[in-house]
Amino acid sequence: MTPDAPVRVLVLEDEDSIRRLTVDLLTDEGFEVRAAPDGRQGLAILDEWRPDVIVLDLMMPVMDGRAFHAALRSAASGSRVPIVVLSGARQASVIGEELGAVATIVKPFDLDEFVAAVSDAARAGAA
Amino acid sequence: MSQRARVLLILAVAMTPLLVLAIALLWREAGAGEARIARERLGLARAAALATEAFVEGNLSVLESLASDLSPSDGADIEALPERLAGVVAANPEWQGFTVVGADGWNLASSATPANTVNTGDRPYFQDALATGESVVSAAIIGRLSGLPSIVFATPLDLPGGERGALTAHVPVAELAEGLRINLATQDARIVLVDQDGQTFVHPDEERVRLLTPAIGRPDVDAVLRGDAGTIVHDRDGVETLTAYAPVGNAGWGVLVLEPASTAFAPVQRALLQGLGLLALGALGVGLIGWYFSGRLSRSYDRLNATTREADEARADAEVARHKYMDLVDGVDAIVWEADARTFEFHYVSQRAERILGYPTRRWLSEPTFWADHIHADDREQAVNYCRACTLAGQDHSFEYRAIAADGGVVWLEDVVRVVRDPDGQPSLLRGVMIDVTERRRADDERARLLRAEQAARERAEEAVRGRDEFLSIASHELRNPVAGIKGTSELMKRFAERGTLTPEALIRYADTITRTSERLARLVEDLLDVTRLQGGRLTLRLDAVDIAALVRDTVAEQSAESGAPPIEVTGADEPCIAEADPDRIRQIVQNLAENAVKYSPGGQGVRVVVDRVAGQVTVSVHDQGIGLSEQGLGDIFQPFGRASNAAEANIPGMGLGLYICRRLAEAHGGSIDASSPGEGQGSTFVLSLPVTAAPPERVVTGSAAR
Repeated sequence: MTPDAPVRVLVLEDEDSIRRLTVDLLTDEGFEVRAAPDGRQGLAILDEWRPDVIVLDLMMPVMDGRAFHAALRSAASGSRVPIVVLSGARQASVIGEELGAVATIVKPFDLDEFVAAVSDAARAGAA
Repeated sequence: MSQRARVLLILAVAMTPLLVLAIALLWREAGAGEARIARERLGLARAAALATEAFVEGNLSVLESLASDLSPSDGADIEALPERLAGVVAANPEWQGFTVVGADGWNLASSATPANTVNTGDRPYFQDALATGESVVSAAIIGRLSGLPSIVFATPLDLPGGERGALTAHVPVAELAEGLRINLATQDARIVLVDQDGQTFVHPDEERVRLLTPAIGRPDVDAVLRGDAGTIVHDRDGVETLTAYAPVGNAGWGVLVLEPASTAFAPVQRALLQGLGLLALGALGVGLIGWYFSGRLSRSYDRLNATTREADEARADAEVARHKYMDLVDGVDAIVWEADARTFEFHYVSQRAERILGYPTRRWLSEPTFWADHIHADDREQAVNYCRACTLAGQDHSFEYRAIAADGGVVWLEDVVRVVRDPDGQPSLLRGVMIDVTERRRADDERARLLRAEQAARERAEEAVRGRDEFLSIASHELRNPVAGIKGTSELMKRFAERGTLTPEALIRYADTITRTSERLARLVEDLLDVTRLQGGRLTLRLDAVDIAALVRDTVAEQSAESGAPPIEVTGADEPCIAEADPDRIRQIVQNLAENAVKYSPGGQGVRVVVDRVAGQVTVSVHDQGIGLSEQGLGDIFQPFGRASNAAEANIPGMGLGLYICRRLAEAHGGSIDASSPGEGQGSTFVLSLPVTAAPPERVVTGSAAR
């Protein structure tokens, strides 16, 4: 990763409104952003596009956050990508730690906090 | 009364009949002895009579032969008679005097007196002899010369010259009397002869004989003169006398053998006295022995009495105890029993058996297999085998089984059994108590049922709690998502606006997002409330008679108009189908099913609704040709927040509450919702079934029309 190249963020979120606003927000903050409504579609993106940070919702249809994480870790390509968990689940932070997430953002969330978490994750990934 | 006196009394009482019998026997024997003696005396009398008869017969025949010697067949004249008579007299010295009596009664010739000096023409013997032409014997007369009794034999005699006279002879009876007396066996007896006129001419009393005392009027004399023979005991001249009498047939006389009864019966009386004496001695002996032994007997008796009394008291005590025991046994609210260890045949069963099982106790005792026969068929083999095994092992045991009561009811019995061994150590008897434990069993069963119910309830509650936790977890997530979306979108709008980077297009887009998300949030809240109401049983249905067909028709038409999707074909809704239902909820179900059908069908094409009535149910079938359902999906879609995977993959929005709510609503109406599909991509069919009103259709229609 070069300093002038934008940080790539993959957002996996099934809630339309959140997916849209996070994409708009992160894009505005200078990230290169792609998004998908479930884990399976996220894995499909990983085949052709390599993110620096993954924003991961836990409860999603088809393939949820946990299943996606397991698939990610088993695949050599994205195994070390830092993850920011974005969830409304009650035990979100616990699950986040389990998954080795850099940060866990609980819905509803503060926009700056969210951006900061993603930036931290990007730096952590770069280090 | 002392024991000794009692014993003696008993002896006396016991001996009295024996004594009476012995005396009676003696008495009878004495009577027989007297009769025998009387018969002996009668024999003497008969013998004397025969001797007398021979005497008479002999004398008559001699006289007749003399008479024939004297008969004048040879023509001798009458003057020669005395000479010839003298020759006869000389030849017969024992004869006192012969007389030839002429037809006129004068004596033609006599051995003792001169001829023609005595006339015997008036004498009965003379007259009889002439009259009958037969020899006769006279009554006794006193001889003129001797002064002693004699008798006259007379026989007819043809006299010379054709005259008819008689030959008579006087014979003294002394010789006869002497001969008869010698023949008497006993010296005490007297022999008496009575002539045909009743004169006593033979008698020990000389004076009496000389006087020829008439004896007519005495019973024995009268009887013998009638020709009877016999014996009689009677008072004779102041003396109790035994008289035997017998007639002398050819003379008309009677022989009497007289003896004082005391002398005649002396041997009998001696024997009787001896007998009585012996008897008295015997009785005395028995009495003495009784007296001696009665003492010992009395002591033995006392001891026996004491023992008997003790035994009686013991028996009475035992009886009282037994009664108490029986009362106790029968009072026990259980069946107390005793049975054969081998056959299980009851020997005894307490009264309470009749109350507990209702069979009379005699059936328990009379039917050899009563026990096994009245065990519940499901318990019989086990119970009998267990009891038999324990009995063989000699182990007391207790077990429970069901018995069939007389009324057919089932009674649980706890049978506590004790094995009783015989002296050889072999199990011989079983004693036991059967306790009616039906109530306890029922209570146990009830407790077990309650426990199971409680466990099930707890599990359901836990399940419900888990479900609710899960539901809350999902619900909170589902609620946070739109809330977070709305909040974030609003903040983003504000941020861009502050920076002046918010374009009008973006503003509209964000506003739309907020509106849509809010609407979804509102609906989610509604659904969550419904779920909460349904799960908490707080859903209230406002039931009414609803024409389901009309309701389906209207709802589907309304929805088509609002959504702008292609119109949905409804069939079978022309006839009214009345059901008791909450019209708003039924509308909600139909709407949900129709919306789903359109939502999961590409372009909303090919959806159709069929209303039908099948077996008391009205069915609303919603057919689509959409994405269909897998086996898994068919199960998932009715769970809270459950969605078919293909629906999510197709990115068709939905929270997975609608079908769950619909099914619960249908169930609240007593109906159901089922889904079917040939498989993914092959369309689905959802069928709502509702019961039509249970009442007869015409009434419902009328009732419905009346509303």
